[in-house]
Amino acid sequence: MAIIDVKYVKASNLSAEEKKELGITVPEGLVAIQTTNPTLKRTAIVVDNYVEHLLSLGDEKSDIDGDSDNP
Amino acid sequence: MAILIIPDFKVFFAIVNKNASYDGALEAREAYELLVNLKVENKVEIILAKPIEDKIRKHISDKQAPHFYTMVEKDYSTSGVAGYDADNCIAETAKNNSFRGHVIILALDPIQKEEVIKGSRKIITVNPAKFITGHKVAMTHSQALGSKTDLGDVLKFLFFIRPEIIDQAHNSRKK
Repeated sequence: MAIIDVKYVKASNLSAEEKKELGITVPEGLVAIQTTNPTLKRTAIVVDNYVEHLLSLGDEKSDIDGDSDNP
Repeated sequence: MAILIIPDFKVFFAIVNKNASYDGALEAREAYELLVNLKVENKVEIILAKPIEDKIRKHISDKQAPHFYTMVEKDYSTSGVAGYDADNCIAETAKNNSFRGHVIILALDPIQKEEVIKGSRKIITVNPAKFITGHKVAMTHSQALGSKTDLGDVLKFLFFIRPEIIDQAHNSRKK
């Protein structure tokens, strides 16, 4: 299953129905709503820190391939 | 109208590569986190100039890509134009976007071809550390003014009308 779309929203901006559908229980914070192929199913994850989350998804290979880590 | 933020290559690189360790990389990550929170509340747009995208793309993993690209708006105004690359496209991109609103260039490196934006009242350049200070000052003012105050308006006021307030706060933080 591949993620084809990600949308970030504030949990506080989600309606009660959306929170229920996505299984979001937190009142605040950043939520990433992911749509996956081929089912187009929407899943959500609470993201405390966007940048940390993005870094955690980085390709480990690029860390050791010597491709100018620090421009 | 949203504030348009144009980060330079080094700011983008710092948020996609955890091994980035040059001066300002940590501040770039902190500033970008603030931008993301402003972006999801429609207070800013984060602009990714196409020449910068061409350079950063190879550093973005497949897993990162949808999370990265959902936060940015690609700008093609310098794409395919002779003489522009990731290092010198920012000033022209800022000029082209200044017709849409106020532009903040968020940069770790000095801006090349800066002459095209000289004198513009709608374009400023700040480094991530100063942006963080400006955001802190704006939050303080916004909270003091009450819940109906728009943080985006306060940011615009401070960065474009009264930048000396941010400078003062920034200089006192550095001491």
